[in-house]
Amino acid sequence: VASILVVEDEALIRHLVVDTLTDEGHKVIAAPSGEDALTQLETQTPDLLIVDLRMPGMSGQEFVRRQRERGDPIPVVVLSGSSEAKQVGRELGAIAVVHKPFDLDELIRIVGRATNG
Amino acid sequence: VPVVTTSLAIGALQALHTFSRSVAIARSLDEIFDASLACVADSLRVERSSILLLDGADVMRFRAWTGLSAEYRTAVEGHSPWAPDTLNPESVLVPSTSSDLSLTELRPVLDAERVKSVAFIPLTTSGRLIGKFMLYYDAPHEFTDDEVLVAEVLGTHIGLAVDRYRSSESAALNEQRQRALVDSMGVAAYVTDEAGVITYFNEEAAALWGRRPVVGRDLWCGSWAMFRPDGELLPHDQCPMAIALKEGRPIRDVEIVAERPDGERAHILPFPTPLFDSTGRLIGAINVMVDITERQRTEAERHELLKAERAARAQAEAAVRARDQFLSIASHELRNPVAGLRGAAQLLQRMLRRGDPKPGQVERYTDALVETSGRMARLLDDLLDVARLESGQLSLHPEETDVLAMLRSVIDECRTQGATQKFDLIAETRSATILADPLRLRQIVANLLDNAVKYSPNADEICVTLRRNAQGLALEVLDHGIGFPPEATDQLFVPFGRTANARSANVPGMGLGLHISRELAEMHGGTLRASSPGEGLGARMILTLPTAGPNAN
Repeated sequence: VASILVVEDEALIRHLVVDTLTDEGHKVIAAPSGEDALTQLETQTPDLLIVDLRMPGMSGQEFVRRQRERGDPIPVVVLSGSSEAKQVGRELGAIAVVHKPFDLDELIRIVGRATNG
Repeated sequence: VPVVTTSLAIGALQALHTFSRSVAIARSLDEIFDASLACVADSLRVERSSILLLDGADVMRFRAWTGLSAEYRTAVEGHSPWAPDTLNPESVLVPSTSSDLSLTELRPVLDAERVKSVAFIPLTTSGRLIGKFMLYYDAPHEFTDDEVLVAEVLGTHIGLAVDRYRSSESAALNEQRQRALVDSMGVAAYVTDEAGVITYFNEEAAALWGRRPVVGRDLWCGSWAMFRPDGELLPHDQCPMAIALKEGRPIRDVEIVAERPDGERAHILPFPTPLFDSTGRLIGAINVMVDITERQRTEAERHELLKAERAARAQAEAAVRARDQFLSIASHELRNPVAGLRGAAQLLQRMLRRGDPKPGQVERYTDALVETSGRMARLLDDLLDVARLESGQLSLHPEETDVLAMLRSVIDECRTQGATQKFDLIAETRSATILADPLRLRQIVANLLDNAVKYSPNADEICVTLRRNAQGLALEVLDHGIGFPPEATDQLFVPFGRTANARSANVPGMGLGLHISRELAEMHGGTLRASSPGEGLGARMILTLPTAGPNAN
């Protein structure tokens, strides 16, 4: 069981990730933007960040950079439909990249590996 | 000067008179020689005489004679008392051949021909020897001063006649050569005299001018009319040939446009060159005309081709950019809903399989399935519409359409779909019926109202005004939403041309709606315009539609 923060602007995807991972027994919180996520991180430190890249306002990359400036780096899983997700994920030092549209089992598997490792 | 006896003088004058008249109309040297011998016989009263001219190898050759045998002529031909280059040679008189030592070698021949006395009278031009004429006597003959004088006068006149004939012959030959040259050039060319009167032109020139100028009358150029390349009329007396003659210098690097009598025009590069005689006197000019019409046309065609090629390349590059942009936008706009659909479907499936359907989640995800699949269906419709518009395959089916009723229906639909804004509908006209495709018009109106809703996230009022103008109807949709920078106005109507503030406001959309709406409005013969005072200050869309409906097509 791990604590996870999901940063995703698209409501349906956000709900899906939260509901699916909660169902798997994880403690999941969510934020619709990078700005909102940074606020939440002031009061709690999850084990894993699941981050969308392309969001209005602060991008996923920017959010990850800011998080690392503020405190101990939290492992990141990138969740994106961008064709450059893999490249950006590598640059960010993400432990995994989940491509949209994704399979729920795949998401569960990747998050499981990320939190156990 | 010796005094000539009257009888000899009168005879000589009469003979010279006849001679000069004959020479004036002579058409060959032989006619001149015949007249010369007749004159010699008449004025000097000799029965035998001959004329010899130096040939090209400076050998004296018999050209005319009376009373001489072939044997004699063969034997003495080539004999001359003067070297060929003697200047101002003097007459040689032999009163008695039997006592003259210089003729010792020829005496048997002279005796056989019964020539007992002989005179060699030189023919000269400008003091230069060109031949001689001979007088032969059967008996020794003492030459009187009168006879010598008359003979020398005759020699001078015969020399002049021969010389004049030869130079006119060489002038004719020159002209003949010049014509042959002009004829064989293969390009249009013509010749004028020093006054600019056309004296000769070749067939190529006639073809270029499209007419045959009158030789000996027409001046400077045979073209019907001439223009400068900029189209200004060029008077004939200012044409390059006229200038070459006036200024006595060749004219180059000038282009003219010649118009034929049939109105066709040719671009010509003329090469007028004045001609001078050996003393430097202007005697005429020759002009060669190069027709560059075809060359210019080819160059223009090549230029056009190059331009078309560049345009095609730019178009192809723009198409590639548009495709890249489409892929980038479509991948983002499609991946999220597809990810949502897939995830929602999988989640519902898992709950059903486990036999544990959580009521809140089932409702949320079935709603999401319906909403998202509907959004994707509209997206697909838009994409297909753009494709149809681009390929011209979208056709209208106009009928009498009540725009006001349609507006009310679309507003109701917006409310049903959850729009929270207050719609303020103002109809300034009661006759809102026009000829239009009802489905397509509804698409435009729905798009305008959807946009007003989408881009007014703070639930402001949306003001819809319908009024009639001279051409038809004007529909204005005014919202108090996010607006757009005025400089982005054009971008709104470009496919996928979403403004930056629309993208960052996280309003879903591919940027096709306004493009499609404007195209449809224009197909109806109407217009669609957008304006905004700036970001955050709302937007105004004005749709105009003619009552008469789409233009017949």
